[in-house]
Amino acid sequence: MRGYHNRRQPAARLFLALCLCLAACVPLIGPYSPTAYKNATGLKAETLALMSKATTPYPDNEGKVEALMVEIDKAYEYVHGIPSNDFSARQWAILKRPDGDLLGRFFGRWRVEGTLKPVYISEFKEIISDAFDEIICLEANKKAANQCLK
Amino acid sequence: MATFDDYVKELRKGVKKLAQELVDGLQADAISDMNAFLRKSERDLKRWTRQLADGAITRQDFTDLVQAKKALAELHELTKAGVADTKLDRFRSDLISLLINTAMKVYL
Repeated sequence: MRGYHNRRQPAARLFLALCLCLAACVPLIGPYSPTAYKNATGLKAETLALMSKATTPYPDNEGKVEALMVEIDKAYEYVHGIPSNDFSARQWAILKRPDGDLLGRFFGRWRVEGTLKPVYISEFKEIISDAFDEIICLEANKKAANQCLK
Repeated sequence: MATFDDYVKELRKGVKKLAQELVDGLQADAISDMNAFLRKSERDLKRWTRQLADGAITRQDFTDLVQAKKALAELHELTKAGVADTKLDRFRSDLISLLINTAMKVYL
Protein backbone atom coordinates (compact mmCIF):
# COMPACT_ATOMS: atom_id res chain seq x y z
CA MET A 1 0.00 0.00 0.00
CA ARG A 2 2.83 2.35 0.93
CA GLY A 3 4.69 1.55 -2.34
CA TYR A 4 1.53 2.23 -4.31
CA HIS A 5 1.23 5.70 -2.71
CA ASN A 6 4.91 6.46 -3.37
CA ARG A 7 4.52 5.59 -7.05
CA ARG A 8 1.41 7.71 -7.42
CA GLN A 9 2.71 10.78 -5.60
CA PRO A 10 4.94 12.27 -8.35
CA ALA A 11 2.22 11.75 -10.94
CA ALA A 12 -0.39 13.31 -8.69
CA ARG A 13 1.90 16.24 -7.96
CA LEU A 14 2.47 16.89 -11.66
CA PHE A 15 -1.24 16.67 -12.39
CA LEU A 16 -1.99 19.00 -9.48
CA ALA A 17 0.65 21.46 -10.72
CA LEU A 18 -0.84 21.45 -14.20
CA CYS A 19 -4.35 21.93 -12.82
CA LEU A 20 -3.15 24.87 -10.70
CA CYS A 21 -1.40 26.37 -13.69
CA LEU A 22 -4.53 26.10 -15.80
CA ALA A 23 -6.71 27.43 -13.02
CA ALA A 24 -4.48 30.49 -12.77
CA CYS A 25 -4.59 31.18 -16.49
CA VAL A 26 -5.35 34.87 -16.40
CA PRO A 27 -3.45 36.30 -19.40
CA LEU A 28 -0.19 38.01 -18.40
CA ILE A 29 -0.58 40.61 -21.13
CA GLY A 30 -3.53 42.29 -22.82
CA PRO A 31 -4.87 40.93 -26.12
CA TYR A 32 -3.75 42.12 -29.54
CA SER A 33 -5.73 45.17 -30.57
CA PRO A 34 -6.02 46.08 -34.28
CA THR A 35 -7.05 49.60 -33.19
CA ALA A 36 -3.94 50.05 -31.03
CA TYR A 37 -1.78 48.75 -33.89
CA LYS A 38 -3.44 51.10 -36.38
CA ASN A 39 -3.09 54.05 -33.98
CA ALA A 40 0.62 53.40 -33.55
CA THR A 41 1.44 52.96 -37.25
CA GLY A 42 -0.72 55.92 -38.32
CA LEU A 43 0.61 58.26 -35.64
CA LYS A 44 4.19 57.26 -36.45
CA ALA A 45 3.76 58.49 -40.02
CA GLU A 46 1.96 61.68 -38.92
CA THR A 47 4.53 62.49 -36.23
CA LEU A 48 7.54 62.03 -38.50
CA ALA A 49 5.92 64.14 -41.23
CA LEU A 50 5.24 66.95 -38.76
CA MET A 51 8.76 66.77 -37.31
CA SER A 52 10.14 67.33 -40.81
CA LYS A 53 8.43 70.72 -40.80
CA ALA A 54 10.46 71.94 -37.82
CA THR A 55 12.70 73.95 -40.17
CA THR A 56 9.68 76.26 -40.59
CA PRO A 57 8.44 78.61 -37.82
CA TYR A 58 6.66 76.91 -34.92
CA PRO A 59 3.71 79.37 -34.88
CA ASP A 60 2.86 78.22 -38.44
CA ASN A 61 2.58 74.63 -37.17
CA GLU A 62 1.30 75.11 -33.64
CA GLY A 63 -2.23 73.94 -34.45
CA LYS A 64 -0.92 70.77 -36.10
CA VAL A 65 1.34 69.96 -33.15
CA GLU A 66 -1.55 70.41 -30.72
CA ALA A 67 -3.86 68.28 -32.85
CA LEU A 68 -1.22 65.54 -33.08
CA MET A 69 -0.69 65.51 -29.32
CA VAL A 70 -4.44 65.14 -28.79
CA GLU A 71 -4.43 62.10 -31.10
CA ILE A 72 -1.45 60.66 -29.19
CA ASP A 73 -3.28 61.26 -25.90
CA LYS A 74 -6.28 59.37 -27.31
CA ALA A 75 -4.04 56.46 -28.38
CA TYR A 76 -2.59 56.35 -24.85
CA GLU A 77 -6.03 56.41 -23.24
CA TYR A 78 -7.13 53.59 -25.53
CA VAL A 79 -4.31 51.20 -24.59
CA HIS A 80 -4.49 52.30 -20.94
CA GLY A 81 -8.10 51.11 -20.84
CA ILE A 82 -7.26 47.55 -21.97
CA PRO A 83 -6.78 45.14 -19.01
CA SER A 84 -3.26 43.78 -18.39
CA ASN A 85 -1.85 46.29 -20.86
CA ASP A 86 0.56 48.06 -18.56
CA PHE A 87 3.67 47.66 -20.73
CA SER A 88 2.02 49.25 -23.78
CA ALA A 89 0.45 52.04 -21.73
CA ARG A 90 3.81 52.85 -20.12
CA GLN A 91 5.44 53.03 -23.55
CA TRP A 92 2.90 55.60 -24.76
CA ALA A 93 3.29 57.55 -21.51
CA ILE A 94 7.08 57.80 -21.97
CA LEU A 95 6.68 58.80 -25.61
CA LYS A 96 4.16 61.59 -25.02
CA ARG A 97 5.24 63.06 -21.66
CA PRO A 98 5.35 66.89 -22.09
CA ASP A 99 8.40 67.18 -19.81
CA GLY A 100 9.94 63.94 -21.12
CA ASP A 101 12.87 63.31 -23.44
CA LEU A 102 11.03 62.24 -26.58
CA LEU A 103 8.10 64.17 -28.13
CA GLY A 104 8.00 66.63 -25.22
CA ARG A 105 11.65 67.53 -25.75
CA PHE A 106 11.43 67.90 -29.53
CA PHE A 107 8.21 69.93 -29.72
CA GLY A 108 9.26 71.93 -26.65
CA ARG A 109 12.50 73.05 -28.30
CA TRP A 110 10.70 73.81 -31.55
CA ARG A 111 8.24 76.01 -29.62
CA VAL A 112 10.97 77.84 -27.71
CA GLU A 113 13.48 78.25 -30.56
CA GLY A 114 11.03 78.84 -33.41
CA THR A 115 12.86 76.60 -35.90
CA LEU A 116 15.27 73.66 -35.62
CA LYS A 117 18.32 72.61 -37.64
CA PRO A 118 17.90 69.84 -40.26
CA VAL A 119 20.64 67.67 -38.75
CA TYR A 120 18.99 67.75 -35.30
CA ILE A 121 15.56 67.04 -36.83
CA SER A 122 16.94 64.13 -38.83
CA GLU A 123 18.70 62.55 -35.83
CA PHE A 124 15.70 63.05 -33.54
CA LYS A 125 13.32 61.60 -36.13
CA GLU A 126 15.31 58.37 -36.16
CA ILE A 127 14.85 58.03 -32.39
CA ILE A 128 11.14 58.82 -32.56
CA SER A 129 10.73 56.35 -35.42
CA ASP A 130 12.43 53.66 -33.31
CA ALA A 131 10.23 54.60 -30.33
CA PHE A 132 7.06 54.02 -32.35
CA ASP A 133 8.58 50.78 -33.69
CA GLU A 134 8.98 49.54 -30.11
CA ILE A 135 5.26 50.15 -29.46
CA ILE A 136 4.32 48.52 -32.78
CA CYS A 137 6.60 45.54 -32.14
CA LEU A 138 5.02 44.80 -28.77
CA GLU A 139 1.53 45.03 -30.22
CA ALA A 140 2.47 42.75 -33.15
CA ASN A 141 3.85 40.14 -30.75
CA LYS A 142 0.52 39.97 -28.94
CA LYS A 143 -0.96 38.62 -32.14
CA ALA A 144 1.84 36.21 -33.10
CA ALA A 145 5.54 35.73 -32.35
CA ASN A 146 7.35 38.36 -34.37
CA GLN A 147 11.11 38.97 -34.62
CA CYS A 148 10.78 42.75 -34.77
CA LEU A 149 12.97 43.65 -31.78
CA LYS A 150 15.95 45.70 -32.97
CA MET B 1 -6.17 0.07 -21.39
CA ALA B 2 -3.86 3.00 -20.71
CA THR B 3 -3.38 4.02 -17.12
CA PHE B 4 -3.26 7.48 -15.64
CA ASP B 5 0.50 6.96 -15.22
CA ASP B 6 0.85 6.45 -18.99
CA TYR B 7 -0.97 9.73 -19.50
CA VAL B 8 1.31 11.53 -17.03
CA LYS B 9 4.39 9.96 -18.66
CA GLU B 10 3.36 11.35 -22.05
CA LEU B 11 2.49 14.70 -20.51
CA ARG B 12 5.91 14.92 -18.87
CA LYS B 13 7.63 14.45 -22.22
CA GLY B 14 5.49 17.17 -23.79
CA VAL B 15 5.90 19.63 -20.93
CA LYS B 16 9.68 19.13 -20.94
CA LYS B 17 9.82 19.89 -24.65
CA LEU B 18 7.61 22.99 -24.32
CA ALA B 19 9.61 24.34 -21.37
CA GLN B 20 12.90 23.78 -23.19
CA GLU B 21 11.64 25.70 -26.23
CA LEU B 22 10.42 28.56 -24.03
CA VAL B 23 13.63 28.93 -21.99
CA ASP B 24 16.00 28.53 -24.97
CA GLY B 25 13.95 31.01 -26.99
CA LEU B 26 13.86 33.65 -24.25
CA GLN B 27 17.60 33.39 -23.53
CA ALA B 28 18.62 33.57 -27.19
CA ASP B 29 16.26 36.49 -27.84
CA ALA B 30 17.47 38.44 -24.80
CA ILE B 31 21.14 38.10 -25.76
CA SER B 32 20.57 38.93 -29.41
CA ASP B 33 18.33 41.94 -28.57
CA MET B 34 20.84 43.34 -26.13
CA ASN B 35 23.75 43.01 -28.59
CA ALA B 36 21.77 44.62 -31.40
CA PHE B 37 20.72 47.53 -29.19
CA LEU B 38 24.29 48.14 -27.98
CA ARG B 39 25.59 48.06 -31.55
CA LYS B 40 22.98 50.60 -32.62
CA SER B 41 23.66 52.94 -29.69
CA GLU B 42 27.40 52.78 -30.34
CA ARG B 43 26.90 53.78 -33.99
CA ASP B 44 24.70 56.73 -32.95
CA LEU B 45 27.11 57.91 -30.28
CA LYS B 46 30.05 57.79 -32.71
CA ARG B 47 28.09 59.87 -35.24
CA TRP B 48 26.85 62.39 -32.65
CA THR B 49 30.28 62.93 -31.10
CA ARG B 50 31.68 63.52 -34.59
CA GLN B 51 28.88 65.99 -35.36
CA LEU B 52 29.50 67.71 -32.02
CA ALA B 53 33.23 68.02 -32.77
CA ASP B 54 32.48 69.35 -36.27
CA GLY B 55 30.02 71.90 -34.89
CA ALA B 56 27.12 70.35 -36.82
CA ILE B 57 25.20 69.97 -33.55
CA THR B 58 25.36 71.99 -30.34
CA ARG B 59 26.02 70.76 -26.83
CA GLN B 60 22.27 71.06 -26.16
CA ASP B 61 21.48 69.01 -29.30
CA PHE B 62 23.92 66.30 -28.20
CA THR B 63 22.45 66.21 -24.69
CA ASP B 64 18.91 65.99 -26.08
CA LEU B 65 19.83 63.11 -28.39
CA VAL B 66 21.54 61.11 -25.65
CA GLN B 67 18.59 61.71 -23.26
CA ALA B 68 16.16 60.66 -26.01
CA LYS B 69 18.20 57.52 -26.60
CA LYS B 70 17.96 56.74 -22.89
CA ALA B 71 14.16 57.11 -23.05
CA LEU B 72 14.16 54.85 -26.11
CA ALA B 73 16.08 52.24 -24.10
CA GLU B 74 13.26 52.35 -21.51
CA LEU B 75 10.73 51.66 -24.25
CA HIS B 76 12.91 48.81 -25.49
CA GLU B 77 13.00 47.23 -22.02
CA LEU B 78 9.20 47.43 -21.86
CA THR B 79 8.95 45.78 -25.29
CA LYS B 80 11.24 42.95 -24.16
CA ALA B 81 9.26 42.41 -20.96
CA GLY B 82 5.97 42.47 -22.87
CA VAL B 83 7.22 40.08 -25.55
CA ALA B 84 8.40 37.68 -22.81
CA ASP B 85 4.87 37.76 -21.36
CA THR B 86 3.35 37.00 -24.78
CA LYS B 87 5.65 33.95 -24.96
CA LEU B 88 4.60 32.77 -21.51
CA ASP B 89 0.93 33.21 -22.43
CA ARG B 90 1.48 31.14 -25.57
CA PHE B 91 3.31 28.51 -23.50
CA ARG B 92 0.31 28.19 -21.19
CA SER B 93 -2.04 27.94 -24.13
CA ASP B 94 0.16 25.19 -25.66
CA LEU B 95 0.11 23.43 -22.29
CA ILE B 96 -3.69 23.32 -22.31
CA SER B 97 -3.63 21.85 -25.83
CA LEU B 98 -1.04 19.32 -24.67
CA LEU B 99 -3.23 18.22 -21.75
CA ILE B 100 -6.19 17.64 -24.06
CA ASN B 101 -4.31 16.13 -27.01
CA THR B 102 -2.27 13.78 -24.83
CA ALA B 103 -5.45 12.50 -23.15
CA MET B 104 -6.95 11.83 -26.60
CA LYS B 105 -3.77 10.06 -27.76
CA VAL B 106 -3.35 7.91 -24.63
CA TYR B 107 -6.96 6.99 -23.87
CA LEU B 108 -8.68 6.87 -27.26
